[in-house]
Amino acid sequence: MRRIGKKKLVMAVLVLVLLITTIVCFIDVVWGIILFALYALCLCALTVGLLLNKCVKKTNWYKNLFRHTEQFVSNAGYRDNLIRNYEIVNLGSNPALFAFFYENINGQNWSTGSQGLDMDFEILKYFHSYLKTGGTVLIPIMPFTSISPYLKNKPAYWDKSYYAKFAKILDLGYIDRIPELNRSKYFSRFPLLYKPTSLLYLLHDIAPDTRYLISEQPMMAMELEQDANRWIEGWLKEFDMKSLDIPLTEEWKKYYDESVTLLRSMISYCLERNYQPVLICPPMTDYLSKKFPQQYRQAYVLDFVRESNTANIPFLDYTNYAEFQDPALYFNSFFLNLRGRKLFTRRLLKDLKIQ
Amino acid sequence: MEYLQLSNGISIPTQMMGTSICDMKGKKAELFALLERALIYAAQTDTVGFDTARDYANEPLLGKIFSKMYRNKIMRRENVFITTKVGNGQQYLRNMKHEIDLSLKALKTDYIDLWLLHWPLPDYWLDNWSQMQDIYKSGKVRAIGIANCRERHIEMLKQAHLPMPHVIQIEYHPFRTVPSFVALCRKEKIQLEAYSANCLMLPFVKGNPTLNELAAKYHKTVTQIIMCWHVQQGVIPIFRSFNPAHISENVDIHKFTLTDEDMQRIFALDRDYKFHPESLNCPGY
Repeated sequence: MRRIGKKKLVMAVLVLVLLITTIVCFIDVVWGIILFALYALCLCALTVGLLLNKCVKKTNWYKNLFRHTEQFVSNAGYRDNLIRNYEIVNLGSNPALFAFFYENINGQNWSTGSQGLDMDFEILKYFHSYLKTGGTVLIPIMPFTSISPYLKNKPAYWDKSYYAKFAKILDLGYIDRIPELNRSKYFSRFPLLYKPTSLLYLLHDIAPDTRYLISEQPMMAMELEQDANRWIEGWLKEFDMKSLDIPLTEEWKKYYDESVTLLRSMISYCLERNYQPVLICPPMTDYLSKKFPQQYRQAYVLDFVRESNTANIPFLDYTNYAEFQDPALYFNSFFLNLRGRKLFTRRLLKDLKIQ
Repeated sequence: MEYLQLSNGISIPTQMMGTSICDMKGKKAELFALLERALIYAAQTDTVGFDTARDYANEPLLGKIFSKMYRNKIMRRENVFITTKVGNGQQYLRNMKHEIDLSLKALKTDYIDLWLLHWPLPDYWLDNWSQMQDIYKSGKVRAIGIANCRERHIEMLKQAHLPMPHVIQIEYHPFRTVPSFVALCRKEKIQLEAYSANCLMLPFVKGNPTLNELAAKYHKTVTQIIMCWHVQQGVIPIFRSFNPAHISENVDIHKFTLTDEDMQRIFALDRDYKFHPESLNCPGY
């Protein structure tokens, strides 16, 4: 079937509307005028809506949503961007975004901020050809990675604005086949339509996300302790857990098994294409790491890695690594600051014998 | 024009002309006119192999241009080698019979010389490749193949007990020579075609000292050195140019031969550089 261009379609609709109105005018002038007025009103509303939408796209709220997607060069842009053959890339969520900084090596951080394992895989599938043959793919494992599919049931966390950034960087034809992304594919273009409350940001905007630029620890010891508590409380709320002492019950096993399958697929995917996948737990301050009971780490992290890693790829666990326990390397209890990021990546590349 | 022979005995020109205009800027009518002039010029200068694809959205236009050229006796159908490809959008539908009929109708011909799967689209391509076997047997296509294939795809074909392609088309140029894959193709008697054959003459290609030194040595251009390097090793380069002077330059390569040493110097330029990151065009690739 031939595709009709958008401009032609709009023109055709306008002509049709005018035609109908003119015919109605000939039949009954009053109804004709009413129709004209209605159309004019609709046109005004549409214009105002589009203008407001444009304003929403200029807010920090909107820019923050897509702040960490600019590193991705899509199908439309690769002809003007000749960088290829990355030696190393990483996937992962916020902790990964703030853990890796590639200097003196052709590497790229493929974390967009909040990013589940399933979206890690979609990004890998879409962008992997930028990697060189034999290149390294870092797959970060965080404390809740093993049960993260649970968040699919929590639209408050993985909502349209969460999926929108992935829909923006992936191919439209491709995301048609991923239901979550398909529902969000026009979010980046029409945020007002998807989230009418975004109008409020025109009146009271949020601050721009500049966390990536922070190079020192702004928190004191007590604040770090409070921050670590906040993280734990946040996760407990997010995953509807009462405490971190809970065993891996049948209910959690369902999500756990889903993650195991997904991680195994990601590892196989890399190996089949001659990449070197590496599982990695980035470091965190001991303010936070000590909040995780050993049995939790064993059941939800270490056993998860063991079950998923049937291909026996390298697993590097820096969670309690002494060299990175210094809070001065972080900007809160969890995320490395610019200085910490550089130091940690240097250490990692050395451990991987890449540099 | 010189020819090579495919494993099924079909003759294939040693060079092909690409016809895609989908990444070019400008008004459609002007691009169409440009393509038409270029095709006529190419045919008049003995270029007889043309490469298109459903996704280039120019099959109907080529059909019109070819018909006009047959009518005006610029060339005859039996002397032209037409390659087209079936894209991912069509592969999702899993109906290759329908797709070949659409291509035949658009290109105004009874047969296609070479029909390729544009991508080994995960979860679809093996089934579609299997369907393409029947179409090949029906005579609607004289040869079949796969573009953007890798070793693992060949392995999958073997595991599925499916026939090997007659032709594989990949990005291949002095900066991406995939030696193990080329060896595998030779072993399996698969003819290799090279798209982006001169790596789009990117600045690092144009300015490459080795290529420029060889160009000076043979009194040829860098493009001609690269084209000759392809043809001399039995790989079919697909060049794309709509400028008559450049078309002539691309095909005027048969009056000189690179020495073995110079061939090896060009092979040594390999750095596995892919201009087209495949996964962007075929997620999951």
